[in-house]
Amino acid sequence: MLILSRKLNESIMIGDEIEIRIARIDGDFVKIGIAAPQNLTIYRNEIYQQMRANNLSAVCHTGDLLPKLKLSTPQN
Amino acid sequence: MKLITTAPFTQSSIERMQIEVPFGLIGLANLRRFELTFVEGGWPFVQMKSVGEEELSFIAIDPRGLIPGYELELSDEDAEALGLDNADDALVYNIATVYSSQPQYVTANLIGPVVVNRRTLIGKQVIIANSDKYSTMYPLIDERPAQAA
Repeated sequence: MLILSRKLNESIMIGDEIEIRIARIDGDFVKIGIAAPQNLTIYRNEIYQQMRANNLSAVCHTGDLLPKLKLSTPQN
Repeated sequence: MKLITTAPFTQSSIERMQIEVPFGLIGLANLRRFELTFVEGGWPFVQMKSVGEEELSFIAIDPRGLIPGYELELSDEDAEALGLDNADDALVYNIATVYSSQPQYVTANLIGPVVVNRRTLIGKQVIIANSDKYSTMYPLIDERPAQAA
């Protein structure tokens, strides 16, 4: 992984379109501003990993589950 | 391996809807078009099947009236990406994980719903802005026998 040193309000360009700016530093807490094209989605890594794992585990491998699933009690 | 056979749906009781999901699902970015299948009497479950090169099947739920107090907040960016300026135009589906259908054990991802603009049929798996209030594994049905302590 490339490691760069930056000061407050300095930024990094990734390619021509993605800018990452150090917006605030407060102890071990860093706020980062990201400007990127709209077709890129930006996630906190832990949320991304959680979503990805959840989506992968949700893939159905056993034929047609839909008719077999029934709510046992209405939850209203 | 033998698949369990189930009674086929009668044609009249099925509704299908195709949606485009331009960014795909999170971690499955190549899945960009889905067919949703609604079966009469099947509420709240919806089948969500990717269409195209890779056909993967998911079960999703329609959370309306199902999950007490579930209110999702869309970020401005997601609302803009979906062209949603009216909450009434949004359809919401939460992807479910079926660990076992017998006994039933099903959880729903309340943090990353697939939100669809019903006018354009364009959808996106979003991460809700109030994600800290919810879980990716909300137990929807848990009929497993209680574990001995």
